[in-house]
Amino acid sequence: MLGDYSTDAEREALRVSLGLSGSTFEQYISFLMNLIHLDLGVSIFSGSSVTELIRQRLPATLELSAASIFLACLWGIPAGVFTSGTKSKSVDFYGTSVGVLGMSIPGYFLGPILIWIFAVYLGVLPVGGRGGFENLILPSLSLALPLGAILMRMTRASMQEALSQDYVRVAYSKGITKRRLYFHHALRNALMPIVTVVGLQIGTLLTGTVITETIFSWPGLGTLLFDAINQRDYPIVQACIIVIATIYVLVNFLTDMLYTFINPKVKIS
Amino acid sequence: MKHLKSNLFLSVGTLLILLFLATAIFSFSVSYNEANQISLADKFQSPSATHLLGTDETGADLFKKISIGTRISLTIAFSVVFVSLFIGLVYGSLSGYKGGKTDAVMMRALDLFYSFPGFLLALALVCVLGPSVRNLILALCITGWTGFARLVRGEVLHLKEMDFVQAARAVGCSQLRIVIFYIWPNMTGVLLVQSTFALAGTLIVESGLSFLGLGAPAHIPTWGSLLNSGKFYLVEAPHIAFFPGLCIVLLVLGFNLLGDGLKQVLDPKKASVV
Repeated sequence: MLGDYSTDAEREALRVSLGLSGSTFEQYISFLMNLIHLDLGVSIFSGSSVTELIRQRLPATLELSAASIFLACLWGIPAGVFTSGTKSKSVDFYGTSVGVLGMSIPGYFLGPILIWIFAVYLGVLPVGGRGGFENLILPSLSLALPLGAILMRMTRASMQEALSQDYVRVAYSKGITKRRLYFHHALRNALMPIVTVVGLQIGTLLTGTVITETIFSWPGLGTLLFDAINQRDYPIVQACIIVIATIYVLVNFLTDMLYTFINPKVKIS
Repeated sequence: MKHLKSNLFLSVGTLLILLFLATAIFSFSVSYNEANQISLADKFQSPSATHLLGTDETGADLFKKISIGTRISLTIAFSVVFVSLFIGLVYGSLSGYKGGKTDAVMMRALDLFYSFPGFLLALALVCVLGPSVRNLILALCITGWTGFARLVRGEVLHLKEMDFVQAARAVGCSQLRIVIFYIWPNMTGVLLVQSTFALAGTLIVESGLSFLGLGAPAHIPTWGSLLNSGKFYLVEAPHIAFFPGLCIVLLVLGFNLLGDGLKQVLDPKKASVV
């Protein structure tokens, strides 16, 4: 950072200013103390507060993640329910195929394809950046399509399991409508694994945004992390990873809590 | 219909994988220098007879680059899954077979890895270790073995109560012998299916990291890095981004189809559930 012609005194001063003067253990303790005070250090390059940078970037990432989860649930769960109880072999076949295909297309390929179709070829949507609603469509789509495919597979499997239960047959023999049978009887019981997957996928989604944000120049945590990695700006890298991992653990915890609401039989010890 | 479908999945999946294996073998005839040959007069050419998949922004032949990328991706995916499988097999068997306190401690240690999204951990590790093929494999193994360990433990817990294991214990087989010769052979189907899906998953993460520039060093063309450089030329030459991306999708699809097909053939009861 100082170049080839720095003096020993300058190097020593830099070591002190970067907090590298103490032993590893002392450094770790001071890092933990700062973390408790939500002080994540300063950026090596810009010198600005990392906590402040993250506060600026986090809303964009949360907006993108929320939109993607919403879109994924919007197409994944109904598609799973629709293809679960079908007697039609072709619907079953196409359902499985769409699920496998969707799982196999990574967001970083879907992103450029969507850009090419909607921004380059048709020219109806912006290539990237954050702003109005139209900026949100492509990045959230490229995250939501693969995620929805996983949800669809899970919903389908879980629904098939629920539909094979005795209480479903009883309800059917009572003569209730198919819609009520599916959504009121079967889906409620099939919801547990679906909620688990949604919870787990939020973590995957947060890391997936690193790639998607760089593709669409979305000013969120992902681009912050990506730029910091390229600049070797370790305080920022460290802070981003801490924040994403914390959100991940928090979401998983909330998912566990949610179980008791969905299924009163579950007790959290 | 069910059998027909699984056979269709199996054959399409196998075909795709064989196609890429052949491409990887072909790539041994192409050196890095040859693949990176710059020829600016030929840049942005569409696919033709001389350049099967066209040329990229430096005029280099895209097919040569992609074939090397195939070899790199397959090498990384297979080595990661092989090492992960081995570690997971040993860890999971020990934890599941010993049970009790050993199991509890080993599973809590495993939970530590689960509290971290895998891609992020791999990203952080590569970022600290520096980008190279070896470090990429290392990082992916560190995140990849946990799934196998959990699966193996579950299977061992289930299998060790079976009658044939009791019988083996009764005739005085050692614990090691029971695990290796009685329990492991009964898990091959499940592990085969899981490994196939793990290959698909590893490929996606590996290409993702390469896409971010955290994969192999710059002179080695990988699918991820080709896709990344191609996305800057979507207007002039969309094929530069399209072909590497298509390769990722097709190979991942191949492994997923093979996994789905294998699952239906090897374990028809479970296949209808998941």
